[in-house]
Amino acid sequence: MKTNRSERKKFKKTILAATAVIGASTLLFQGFTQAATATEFKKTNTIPTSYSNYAAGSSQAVPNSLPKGYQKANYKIGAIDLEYYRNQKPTSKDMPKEEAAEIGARALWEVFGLNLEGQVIEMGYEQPAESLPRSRWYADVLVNGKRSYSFSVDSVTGELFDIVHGRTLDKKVSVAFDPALDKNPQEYVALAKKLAEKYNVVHGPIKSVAYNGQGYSDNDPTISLDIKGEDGEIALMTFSRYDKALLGIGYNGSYKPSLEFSERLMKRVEEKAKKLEKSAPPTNENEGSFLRVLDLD
Amino acid sequence: MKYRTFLTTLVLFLFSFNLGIFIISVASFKDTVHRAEERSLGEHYFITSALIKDFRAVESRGVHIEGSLASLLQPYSYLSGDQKVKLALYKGEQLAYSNRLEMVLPSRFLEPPKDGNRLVAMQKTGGHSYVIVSGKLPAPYDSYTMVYLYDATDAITAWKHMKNVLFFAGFILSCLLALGLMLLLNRIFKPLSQISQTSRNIAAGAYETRLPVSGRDELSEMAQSFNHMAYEIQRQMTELIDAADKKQQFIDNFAHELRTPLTAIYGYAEYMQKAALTEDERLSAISYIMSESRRMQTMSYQLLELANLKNDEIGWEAQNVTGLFRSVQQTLHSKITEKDIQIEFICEIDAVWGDACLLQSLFVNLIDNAIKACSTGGHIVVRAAIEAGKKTVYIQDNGKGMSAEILRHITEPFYRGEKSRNRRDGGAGLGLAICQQIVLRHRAELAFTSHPGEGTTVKVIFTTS
Repeated sequence: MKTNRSERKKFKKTILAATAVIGASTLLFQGFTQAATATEFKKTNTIPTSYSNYAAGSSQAVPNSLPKGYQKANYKIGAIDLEYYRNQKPTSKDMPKEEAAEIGARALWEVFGLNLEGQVIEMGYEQPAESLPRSRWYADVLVNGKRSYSFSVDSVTGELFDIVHGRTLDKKVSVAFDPALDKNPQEYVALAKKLAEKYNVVHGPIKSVAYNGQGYSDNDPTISLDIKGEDGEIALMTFSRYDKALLGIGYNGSYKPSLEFSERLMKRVEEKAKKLEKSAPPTNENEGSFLRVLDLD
Repeated sequence: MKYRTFLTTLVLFLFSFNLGIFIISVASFKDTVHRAEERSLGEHYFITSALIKDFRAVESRGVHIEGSLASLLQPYSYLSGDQKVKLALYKGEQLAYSNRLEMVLPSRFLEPPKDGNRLVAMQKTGGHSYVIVSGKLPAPYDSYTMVYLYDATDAITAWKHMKNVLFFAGFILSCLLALGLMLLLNRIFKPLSQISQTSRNIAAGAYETRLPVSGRDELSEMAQSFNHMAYEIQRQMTELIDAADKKQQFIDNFAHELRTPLTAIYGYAEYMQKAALTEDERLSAISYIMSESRRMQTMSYQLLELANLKNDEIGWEAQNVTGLFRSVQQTLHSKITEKDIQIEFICEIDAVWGDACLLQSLFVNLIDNAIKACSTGGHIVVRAAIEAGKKTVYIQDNGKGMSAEILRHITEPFYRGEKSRNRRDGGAGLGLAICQQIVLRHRAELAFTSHPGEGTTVKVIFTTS
């Protein structure tokens, strides 16, 4: 009887001790973790850094560096006759449209070999937007009266944002998706790499070239590829699937913000869709509307 | 012991377990911080690089960059649309441009090293955790310092949540382990408690107490061994008690046997001293004294013989059985004749191994007892034969026989089945005890079969020859 009582007493004591040890151990190691992580907030690390590549490789942004063999053409500069452009005026910080037109003319000559002698460049000013948070000059280039090229330039720095060759083929070509090309786009990857190096589209050594997707412009089937530079720049090159002609280059200045904008947009769409699902889950699949309008804030 | 083992094991486990959680927590925190810092360094590098390019482009147009700072930096504010990034450009210690920067930066970030190296640190301000990257722009713009702040509060909060979940789960697991450990130790220590209790019982004299044996594991083996030990202790204790009882019985019997002749001797001596005796009375008294003295002498001789039998070596030779029987017959001839006993010797074996004198003494004693048991004209058969492959000597009489109770004690020293008989016959009750010792020394067996009124059969079964 006495043994049982002392055994019970011992048992209670042990349970109390075990609870105390478990609690103390958890709190102690929590404390250790807090202390160990607190030291991270007191540290300041020094990172060796060099900006030499960037400083040397900014050819697109320097308007007074002429391409080899280039001679300024005698082209006319007009204004795009659209209300959207008429309502937007450049500030004193923006370059004049003539200066921007010349940057574009040089790029067109260098990439497409286009001589704008006697041609017309119609310019329009665009204020920063969420998809491209920089003011720019947009230009439609009329060759023999027909809108054939376009480009856009940062209105402050003169950085070339993109150049595009728009054309209509004089024969009927399939613009359908090419599954074989989708599986094996290596021919265009090699072509894009070669031309990206030639035109220095990412302003430095190329890290990778990746197939982006297929599409079409007017009746011209197209293929797009992402060019990534070692310094983090990214550009989009578009070729014709009909004759492998280069149709356009979207440079880092505009392509990167548009990619980030797309990501943000997708994220917002997903969040909104989740909210909608939570607020009114359809009881029957047939009852729920197939398409919904998402009002993004 | 059980509780000490429990607490020690628990403490060791808790140390290892919580150390593991601590290492995981700290490692994941460092990884979170590292990723946030890497991201911030990358963004800072990209913005600074692009800004240099923009500065060059603007300057190449002949425009002063200070007036264009806002329009040049504003685009980079959009790089992170989730309001987590803050930018600030300082010229010297003067803020030239800022984006959503409400906090005051520590001075070390405003004066980063001039060799181009950047500073990166985690900083807590106003309940938020920021990664701050600060670096001077390269020459010729090195009067400017670009500061990039990334709000890593979400990542740090997620880490804190994960850490708390880990510690909480650890706490729950530790409690479960403690419970499991206690149950396990209870199970392991239960047999030890039982052994302890059983040992106490055995020590208190309850030799029949045993441990329960179940299963075929080490514990059941241990219980079996313990039970075997307890059985051996019980057996040896019983033997010791029996031996002690026998010794006590021997002493009691011996004292009793001594008292009778001594009383008689003392009585007759006193009678002779105090009474006026006639010559016949004196001779009669002396005769009694001599008779009782002889009995004591016989008893002492027999006790000495009994002691010698236990200690001395015996002769070990083949003894001719017919010769043995003949010599016994000669020794007992007068008694046989006196009681007109018909004795029959049948010998079917040649020899037995042993000591001639002791064997003769054995058979004389046994046959003498048979003669005493028989009334006048009785019949005794002495037969040596092989029974169940062993040489056996039977001595069978048709005397009065004995009860089973008497049979159990007849080989004990001084035991008397009939209280008056041996004394009347001059014996001390040691004859069969001596026979038992002789038989034992010959590694043989002595067996009695008797029924009152039907006679007795004694068997001497030899096992060595």
